[in-house]
Amino acid sequence: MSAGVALLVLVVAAGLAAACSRPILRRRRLVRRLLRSEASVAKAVSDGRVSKATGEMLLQHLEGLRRECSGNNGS
Amino acid sequence: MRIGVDAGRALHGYGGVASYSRQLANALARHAPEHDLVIFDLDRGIHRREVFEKTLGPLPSNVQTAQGSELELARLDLFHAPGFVLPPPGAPHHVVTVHDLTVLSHPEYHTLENRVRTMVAVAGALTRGATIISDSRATRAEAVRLLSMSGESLEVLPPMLDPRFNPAGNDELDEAALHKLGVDAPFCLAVGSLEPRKNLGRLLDAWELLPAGVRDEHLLVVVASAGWLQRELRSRLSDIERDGSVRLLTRIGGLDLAALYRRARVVVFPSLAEGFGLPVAEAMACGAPVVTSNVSSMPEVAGGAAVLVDPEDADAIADGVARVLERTELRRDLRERGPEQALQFSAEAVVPRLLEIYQRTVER
Repeated sequence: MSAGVALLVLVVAAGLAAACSRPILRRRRLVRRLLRSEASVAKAVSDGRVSKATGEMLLQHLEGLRRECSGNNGS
Repeated sequence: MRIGVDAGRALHGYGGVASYSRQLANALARHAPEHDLVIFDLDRGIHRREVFEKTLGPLPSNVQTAQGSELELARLDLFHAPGFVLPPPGAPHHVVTVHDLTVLSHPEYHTLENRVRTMVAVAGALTRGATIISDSRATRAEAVRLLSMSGESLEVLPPMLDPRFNPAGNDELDEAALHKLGVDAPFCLAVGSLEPRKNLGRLLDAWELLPAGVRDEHLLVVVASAGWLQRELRSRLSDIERDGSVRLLTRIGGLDLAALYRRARVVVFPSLAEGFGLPVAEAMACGAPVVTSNVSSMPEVAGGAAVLVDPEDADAIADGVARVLERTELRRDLRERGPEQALQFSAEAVVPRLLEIYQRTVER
């Protein structure tokens, strides 16, 4: 196998690996956003800026989404 | 007041939120000259005035454009975020429009990314103590039901319509617009992005249920912007388009859309869930007879000036369309009542109420 072909195979393999990891990275980013959001809701409830009832509902929705993003939606 | 508004979606977006943002910036610029308006693009940070003017038209002298630095935000009295994008902290007060909560009531119609983006924005708005505006009483009821919010903490204010959506138009220009779009037969019109919630698949089912004579005489024109989760619908539309009875139009500007509304025999909007349902209001403003859904916010927007049908029933949609097409008297009545109902969505009617909300917010 010539060096050119080997390089081509490497480039294609790297491209495939990048394409496969993209959805995983995207989901990790979403999980990080949700975690930050959950933390700020919890703080707002403890500060009294958001009512307990609304805070609980928000946290429930955000946690549900985070579980889905992590591939663990409880089903 | 020194009011900041994010008009980023007006520059880069499509569909209802883009239209809302465009009209919000435009209406405040033109109908609230006593206030200073600063327009931002939170999506891409564009701040050159001429870029905004390409979309919004020439801006009056009380309007500035800015990049969104902390310093610029701190000089504002309040910031209005109309597109589910919150500014960095800085402004002393925030107003956030929550257009709908269908990510919670109908998660199956949304991508996971949509749902996360929307819920993070809603949570951000609430934790900042923002004033929340919902586009309709239906959306307010959803917020009470799904987020345990108190109804009093939510303001209800409809979107504003582009003034180009009016019943008068200009016959010559409308004719030229239709000619350019290749629409010459009498036609029924459907408007909406290609996403499951808009129910275009069932509309196509209903179209096939109409008597052959009606279908032979009319074209179905579908004006659609890009959406999601609709690969099957796209291929079905392409197949039907090939046989000539349905015409799919994309990237339609406001003037052309207004011409389509004015010339349509009927506008059909059988959406399954909306926060408002802008095409219903736009069509009525243009004097088009409308058939829309009897659920969610649509009866509220129609205000008795449209035919309401069960959007989950293709027979009911077909029956509603056939009734309007076959009964001249009903068509005439809807054409008269629609523009009257739509007056409440004009900038003249909405801006004073919006300024009252701003005032209450800064006084809190």
